[in-house]
Amino acid sequence: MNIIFVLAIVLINTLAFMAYRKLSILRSISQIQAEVELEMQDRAHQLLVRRDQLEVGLVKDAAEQADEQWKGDLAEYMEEFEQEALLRAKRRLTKV
Amino acid sequence: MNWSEIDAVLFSLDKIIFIAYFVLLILVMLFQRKVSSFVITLVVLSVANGAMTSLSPMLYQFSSQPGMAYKFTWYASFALIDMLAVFLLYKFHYLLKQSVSFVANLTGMFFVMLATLQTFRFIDRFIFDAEVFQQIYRYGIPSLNIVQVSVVVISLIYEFKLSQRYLKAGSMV
Repeated sequence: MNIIFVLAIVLINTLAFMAYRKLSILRSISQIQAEVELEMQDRAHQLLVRRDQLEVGLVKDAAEQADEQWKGDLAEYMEEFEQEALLRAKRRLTKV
Repeated sequence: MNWSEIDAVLFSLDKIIFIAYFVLLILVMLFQRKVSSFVITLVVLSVANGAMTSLSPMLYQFSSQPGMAYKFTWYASFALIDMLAVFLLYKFHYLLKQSVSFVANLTGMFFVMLATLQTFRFIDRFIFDAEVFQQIYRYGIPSLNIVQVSVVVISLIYEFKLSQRYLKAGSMV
């Protein structure tokens, strides 16, 4: 009979551990998300600064080439942004 | 203050701690007025401590009867409340899409430690017939509670200072 009580209390404790593990995973996911968001925000800011410089004519040499490069960088940024959103959704669905 | 007085203070702590969490929750709701990981943590701490405080007298009466099943009820009930508290902490964060803060993670760890303490003491007392965990159980639970309340209060002050700094920075822009 005693063994049933021990098993029951150990089971409750194991469930508590499992719930805590899930909470830790959720914490790591939110930390990764915060880091990625910060990085993406920083890149978006840099792109905007370059756009402003182009528009006010600060980049005088090869302005057309700089404009093309800016458009390319913007497309790359948008693609990475989309990929990151997909990856995050997948990670959230599989880990939690 | 002698040992018996310290003992009395330690064992009347559960009610004081429950009221402390409740007051902190109201304060946070007054200042923040939005759902955050901190609010979720305080809600779970208040509910779990409230449940333990209200059930303690009834469980004590029940478990003072002879028989293993009655003793088991005491330890298992507290372990169950601790387990449910961690589960609620996780579920609320997940459903409300909140980032798990440091204090929420620490609170989860604190509940797991309390549940483990209940399990170890039960096995120690009724299976090994030893008293190895008696003192750890007796003073460990109130001590953990004091540490947890202190951590929550320090985090609250830190969050308040941080929000004040953001407000100042916002008004300067």
